[in-house]
Amino acid sequence: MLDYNFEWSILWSQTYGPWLLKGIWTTIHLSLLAWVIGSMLGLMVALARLAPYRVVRFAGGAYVQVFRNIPLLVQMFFWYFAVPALLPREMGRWLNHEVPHLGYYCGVVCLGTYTASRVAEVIRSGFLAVPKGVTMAALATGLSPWNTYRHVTIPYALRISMPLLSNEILSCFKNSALTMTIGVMETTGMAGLIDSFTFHGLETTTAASLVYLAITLCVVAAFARVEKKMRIPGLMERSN
Amino acid sequence: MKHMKRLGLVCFWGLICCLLAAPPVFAETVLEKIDRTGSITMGYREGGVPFGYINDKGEWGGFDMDLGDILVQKLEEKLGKKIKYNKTPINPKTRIVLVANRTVDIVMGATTITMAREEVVDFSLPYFLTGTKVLVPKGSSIRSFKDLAGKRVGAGNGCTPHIKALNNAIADKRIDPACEIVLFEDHLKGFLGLQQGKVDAYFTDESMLAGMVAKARNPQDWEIVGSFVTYEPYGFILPKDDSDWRDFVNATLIGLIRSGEFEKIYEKWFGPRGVVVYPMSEEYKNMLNVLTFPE
Repeated sequence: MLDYNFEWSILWSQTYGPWLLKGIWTTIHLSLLAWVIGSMLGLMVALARLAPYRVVRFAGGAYVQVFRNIPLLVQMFFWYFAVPALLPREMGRWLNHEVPHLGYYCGVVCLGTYTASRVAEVIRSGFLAVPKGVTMAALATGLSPWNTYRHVTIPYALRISMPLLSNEILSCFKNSALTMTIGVMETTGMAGLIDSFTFHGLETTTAASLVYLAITLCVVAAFARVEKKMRIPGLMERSN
Repeated sequence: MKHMKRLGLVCFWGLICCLLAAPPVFAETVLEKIDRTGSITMGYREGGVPFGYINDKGEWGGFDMDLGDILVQKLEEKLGKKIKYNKTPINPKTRIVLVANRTVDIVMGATTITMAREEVVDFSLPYFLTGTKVLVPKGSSIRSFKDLAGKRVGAGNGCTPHIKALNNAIADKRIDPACEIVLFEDHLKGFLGLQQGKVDAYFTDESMLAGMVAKARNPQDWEIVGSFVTYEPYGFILPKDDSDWRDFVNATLIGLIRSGEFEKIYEKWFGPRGVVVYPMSEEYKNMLNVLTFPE
């Protein structure tokens, strides 16, 4: 029971409507950029963790443990406040004084590197799940080790990882909300700002929740399509 | 599988309906409720030095809390019985909802009275008056509000009137070219950003700026410049349309001002030996004088 007047119209009012749209747009491109970094870097780290060289394997493992095991919020503050202070003086000065929207870039890098650590584990598990016989058969047909990787193991492993990867991209979108703590005005930040301007927090929070739900449902649908398209007939068929 | 899907849908729409169905019927006034239950719930800030904050010893206290203690005393006198006194921490995000849904009977938390907020809740008479000013490193080229043109200005995430003031000034070219507004989680992070040079100036209530400087390692490295850009009268947040309760709170406040007790509490927190040295401005003194309505 609430003694509260709902005024949904503030969501599309002349002042606040564009704000919310701007916030949603920021969420989308920030998360997509972070996802690009996350998936590329993640694939590289996964390959590093499976490399035949001990040093490379160790580096990959260290990366995963560091970025996966520190709370994302702490990492956000680290990139935004600590990194410029740790860099050489001139570079730190440049970052702090010259770069506009530093929070945004720090947010992208932070979310990207964090997502990479999780993606790496997912892809690694995909690689480990590729039956040994498949790789051996590819080698036996005369493919070079690199070509076996390129044409057999990687495509196979990525397909196995697909459902879990969709999970990670969803997390990426949802985690982007944390960038509001370093001043990025994405959906949650904007919702909060509109709330503090109008005191209509329930509407803006509901709107923000529905926006995230809509974005993630779109991603789920897109991933389902991709999975279906990429499916190798006779392999990994899923019964629905 | 299909059943699960349907169940999910039902749950989803059920939740939405619960949110939308809001019967705004409260037969009982706050005073009646306090009398019936024998308890009152009051909301205070935890990080607003010195309004409501946790000090070095881990004790929760402040200017607002002292005023709250007196309000409870007066209530006990009025109702003639002991009242259970619940203190609830609130923040700028929760304070409105907690009053609107009547979890909290009153929020004493350094809140600026604004017309937009008046539409959702009620406010007591103003009990504190400050205004927005600009904090800069000593020797900065920024000497007043209009010098913010083309600079980066920090502000608190929840400090609406300040963001609004900056937006308005940019819109009517008082700040031209526009400044970039960088928002921070709270004033402490904002001050860190100012120290690191992420922003050239920080814009908020002078009382808060004074608190930030007081806690800085080298207070003499910072200066507050310019004159008040906006006035920020603080009031207590009260549930909407409950004039008995509001009258009681206002009467208590007026009584405190008239008896001089208010000034003593002010001195304790903002006086020369207080937590934040912030002498009462002429405007503030006048406001308090005006508030001492005749009996």
